Amino acid sequence: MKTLTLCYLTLYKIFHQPAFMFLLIVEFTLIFLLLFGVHGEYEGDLLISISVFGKNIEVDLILYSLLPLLISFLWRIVMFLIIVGAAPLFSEFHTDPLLPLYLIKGISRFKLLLLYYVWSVLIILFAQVVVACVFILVFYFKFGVIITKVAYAFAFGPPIIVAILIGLSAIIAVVFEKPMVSMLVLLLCYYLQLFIYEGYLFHTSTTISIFMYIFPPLAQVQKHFLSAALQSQVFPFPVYSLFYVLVYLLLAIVLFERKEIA
Amino acid sequence: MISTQEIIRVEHLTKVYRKGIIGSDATTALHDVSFSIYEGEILAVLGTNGAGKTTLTKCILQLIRPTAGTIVHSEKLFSSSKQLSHIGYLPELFRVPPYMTAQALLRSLGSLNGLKGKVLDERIQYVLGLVQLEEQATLTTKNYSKGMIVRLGIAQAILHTPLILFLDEPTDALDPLGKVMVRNLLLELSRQGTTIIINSHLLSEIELVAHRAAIFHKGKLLRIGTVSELIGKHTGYYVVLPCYVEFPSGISCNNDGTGWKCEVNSTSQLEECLQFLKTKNITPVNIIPKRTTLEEIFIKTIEQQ
Repeated sequence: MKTLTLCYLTLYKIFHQPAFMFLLIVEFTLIFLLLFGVHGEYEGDLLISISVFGKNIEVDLILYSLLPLLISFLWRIVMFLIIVGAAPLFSEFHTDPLLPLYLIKGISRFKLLLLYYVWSVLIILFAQVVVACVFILVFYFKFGVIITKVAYAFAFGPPIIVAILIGLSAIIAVVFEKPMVSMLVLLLCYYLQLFIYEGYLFHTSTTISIFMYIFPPLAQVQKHFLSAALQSQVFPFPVYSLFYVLVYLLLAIVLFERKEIA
Repeated sequence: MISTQEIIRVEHLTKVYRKGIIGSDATTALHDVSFSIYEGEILAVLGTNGAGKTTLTKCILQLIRPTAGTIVHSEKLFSSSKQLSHIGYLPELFRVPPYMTAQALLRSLGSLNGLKGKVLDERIQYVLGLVQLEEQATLTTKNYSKGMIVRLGIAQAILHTPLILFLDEPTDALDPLGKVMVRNLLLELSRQGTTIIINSHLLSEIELVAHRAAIFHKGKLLRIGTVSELIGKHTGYYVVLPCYVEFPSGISCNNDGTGWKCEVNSTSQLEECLQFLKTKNITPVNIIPKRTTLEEIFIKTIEQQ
């Protein structure tokens, strides 16, 4: 009963955060754009071009040139918005005015932190899965195309990356208690390590391999999902990313156990 | 009913807050504080801002860790899972998520305390009645005034009939009627056997309800004792007269708007004064024992430091 009530209270808190509203807006905008911004031009039963906001683009051009670009571009936008939305979602639990009351009622800090973490990740996952389902339905009914791989990438890719990042955010949140700091560090972490992996910052493979162990394996996770979406070589899913999540969470729990509640 | 049984014992408690990257910036919030809290008493923790009252409460509630010293809680305060429980707490500047109704908040917090079903419903109704919030129970708290939030805070603190209740500045945001309501509530809870620790700097309020008072200043416990011990015996009388009288023995009289108040400093001087008034055929309106207020004691104690 206690755990159920706590689940309700923590979820209730997350649902009422501005960050959650922001995420909803992002997701609804994506769905809206898909539903009303993209149309197919047919000759008989044959799809010859796709109209994106009134601009006709040939199907071949879309499939072989624009789609990979569009997916990569969209991915970056979605990742940015999701990190901006997800970072405060978790770290704002420190500002919960009921936190001291939970603690004096014998609720363990471990349980509290874990609940906020699990809810934050599940909400992102749920939102992405819904958007992915809409993707599939819209493309199927509008163009007769089943885009399961793209949907798979967008449904599970961002939530897994966010799960790793929120693990990191758990530590930052315990130390700084400022959602904004969490958000900035996560954005920095995400983009910095992508730059490193893409060779913009460091060029030697030794440096890259060192960073591989310091930074969470976001680039590998991203590679796996993007390559799956683009149907080229599929990279194996880096299962060890879960190890990072566990280490981050464990550290956050140790820090939170010692934290003084203001 | 106050017993001699300790419910909490604080021994040589010290709390130092450290700031800065290497903790170089240190502030001592509590310094070698020792005292006991007894079952059923109302203990007032008095002090200026920054005296260490809230830090003391948080140390006792295990929300922050002491730098040194120990706090011994009675076994009664622990739940079966060995977690500190059976405690009610109204934090200073109590805040509630603005999207919650009073009823939803109390229901959730009551469930966390193990209350459920009809018992929980009855308790919610009862405490909302006590703090006079029944009519606003289904409104979201964003529509509440500061005073209503504090009253809701008191309701959540007493919902599960705690053995000990910690109230951090409970009357600060309340209007005079609200203060009276809280005062009566505290007295009633105390009669029912609840131990109450109340942090405040509204000394006139405290004087009316507390059994004991502890005076803190800059993290140090300066004085602790029963309110009557601290205030001491009365040191004279005020004789209230209907008109001005020139006393031969040099008793001075002032008009404070309610009548002429003449100050006498001993029982013998009072007798002398009454004899003189008899000769003048003047009947005193009232004779009031002159008492030192808790406020005066508090200021004197602080000034001695």
